[in-house]
Amino acid sequence: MIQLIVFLPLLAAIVAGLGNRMIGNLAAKLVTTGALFVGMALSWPIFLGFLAGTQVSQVHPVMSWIVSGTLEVAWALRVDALTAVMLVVVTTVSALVHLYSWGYMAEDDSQPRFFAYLSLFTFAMLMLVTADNLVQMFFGWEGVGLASYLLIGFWYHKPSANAAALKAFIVNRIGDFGFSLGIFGTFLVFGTVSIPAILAAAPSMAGSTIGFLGGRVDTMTLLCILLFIGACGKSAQLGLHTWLPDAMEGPTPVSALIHAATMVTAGVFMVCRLSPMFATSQTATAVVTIVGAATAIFAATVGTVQNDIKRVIAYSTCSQLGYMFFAAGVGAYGAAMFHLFTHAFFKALLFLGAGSVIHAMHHEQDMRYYGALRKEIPWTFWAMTVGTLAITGVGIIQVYGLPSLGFAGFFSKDTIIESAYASESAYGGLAFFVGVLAALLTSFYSWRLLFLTFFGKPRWAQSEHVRHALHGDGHDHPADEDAGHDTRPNEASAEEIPQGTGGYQPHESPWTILVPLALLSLGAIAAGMAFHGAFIDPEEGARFWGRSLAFDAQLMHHMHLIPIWVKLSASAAMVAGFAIAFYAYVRNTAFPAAFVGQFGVLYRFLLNKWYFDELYEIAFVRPSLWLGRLLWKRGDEGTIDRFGPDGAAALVVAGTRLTARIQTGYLYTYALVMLLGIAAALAWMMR
Amino acid sequence: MTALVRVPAKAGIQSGRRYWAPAFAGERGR
Repeated sequence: MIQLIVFLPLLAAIVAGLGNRMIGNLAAKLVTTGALFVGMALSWPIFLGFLAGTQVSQVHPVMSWIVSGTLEVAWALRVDALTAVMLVVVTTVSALVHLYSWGYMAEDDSQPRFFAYLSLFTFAMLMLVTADNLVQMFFGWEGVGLASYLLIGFWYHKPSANAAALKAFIVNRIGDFGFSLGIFGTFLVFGTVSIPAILAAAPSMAGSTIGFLGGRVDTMTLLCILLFIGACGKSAQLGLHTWLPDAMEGPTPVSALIHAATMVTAGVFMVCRLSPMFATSQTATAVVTIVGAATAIFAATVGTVQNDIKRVIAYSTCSQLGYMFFAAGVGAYGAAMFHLFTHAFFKALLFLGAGSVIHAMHHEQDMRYYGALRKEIPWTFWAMTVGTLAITGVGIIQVYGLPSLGFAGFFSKDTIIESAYASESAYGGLAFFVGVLAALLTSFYSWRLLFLTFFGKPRWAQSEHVRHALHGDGHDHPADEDAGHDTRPNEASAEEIPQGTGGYQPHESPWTILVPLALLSLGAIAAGMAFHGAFIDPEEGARFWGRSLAFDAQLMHHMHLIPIWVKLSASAAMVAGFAIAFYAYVRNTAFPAAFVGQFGVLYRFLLNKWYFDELYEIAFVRPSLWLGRLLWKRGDEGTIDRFGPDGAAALVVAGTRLTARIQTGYLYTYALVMLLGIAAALAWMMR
Repeated sequence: MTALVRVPAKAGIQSGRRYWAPAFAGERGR
């Protein structure tokens, strides 16, 4: 069964990819989407089996892969509670995104290629989450990286898409360098790459030291930090995050599947999978906490000022991944996985909803040109509202023994914030305050997005895309999606954009788009209420997770004993964020412009994303280009070519030119040479 | 089960238990 779940998408990708135009659009779409729906139907029973306690952890061997001395790498599919959670996330979101793409990509010219890539990605992701050893995990890790590269650059005729795809690939390679060093080191220390064997042996290695780069460092700290660098690259944590916002160049369904729900959470999954290993090093978990908290707050601040609808959601994803990491850092691995699970639903929902808005607005992505779409695309509006309620964490805490009620994010995000407070970890307090502040910002930018898009007066008339739709051809090509690079500091705020519809009539999306929205809305509403017991309850959680991650029942128990103000702080932050957004974007719409006038420096700092791209341009990109140019111009052309092939060729040319000069064709010249020759020969003989 | 890839231990990946990974130079495996 698990074999079917994992390998059906691969088969579908091969059929759709190689068949391509031969089998046509419909066949390619049916094969890939069908494979994913079968996978989804098979995955849920496994997950529910773990919930009910009827399913036990299993390892299904596929084949032996590499054998060399003591290095033995097998292909095996591991199914435990942690894998089961990832299985339902990956197959469910992927199946719905496949279906959504029927509508979204309907006008695209190379649909079989698109669907083949999507299925290939799903296969690689499933390989990653079912991995029983680090090398197989690395295979899946690189597989999703490749698929991400191919899909970001799907519209390869757009230079911006190519640049974004390359950026994602290169930044991920930096993280993967750390990850592969971590795997080498783990094999060096433990003599095996099998995950269960490593986790079993990890506690015994705590406190030992290892030689690294000439120095001696704590073994477990080093290994965990190296592996965590890999997680930072894939999960876009501060420092290696720059590729994620640019990855929005890809089609919106790709953003929803890869850059929100699944691939970017691979880092969190890996840390949870190896949690017994991380638990052996306080330094490493402190690093995870600090990086996660820093990312959560950094990305949230940037998200508050972006104008491109997809970019806001991209930074939001980055920020939420930060939450998951600091939860893992303080030891609340169950809470990290819980947020991963709920986030997959509501973030995929928000992205697909944004795609539906973009579709309705003829590929306009700038929220300043939206407004008043509530009545025009009501289904999308309600779906986005549910997504926003879920991400901001709307809900009521448990009172008088009544069950708590709330959207998915309410349960998972509050758990993370509370567990940070309750944890004994050195940086838990810091993470708690950062988490609450980031919750306020999350609420603000999420509601800002909703208000700018769906409320107020229409501001469509000046949009280039809308004008194009009105005056030009009526075609609706998804490749017209914006670059979203508009970050000019002196731009107009939404208030200054002239109002008016320009006679444009937005259209609600087809059912293939609305059905996935509806199903994901269901997940965004219920995922928290239905599953919080299994994921985070001290007793139930310990039983559900079993030995698949280092579940800290004591921490989850402490979480219930924290003061009431801590429990309410996240909700208070959420309400405050909503109030500010409501005031600024509904009540007094002149306020944002006035604020920007007052705090222009801060605004530009955030709008330019803390100048990370500019910093990297100066620190890394230019020196690399300079070095490359030096090696090319001076090293290659100036030295090797000059004295090698070019020099030899030039020598031959010069020699032949000299010879050619002598061969004039005049008889007297030849006679002179003969005479000189005879004279020389005579002189030689008569000496 | 026959392995898809079989490399003699001496051929490279692990020659004489010394690993080719400059970062861990001088470190010997267990």
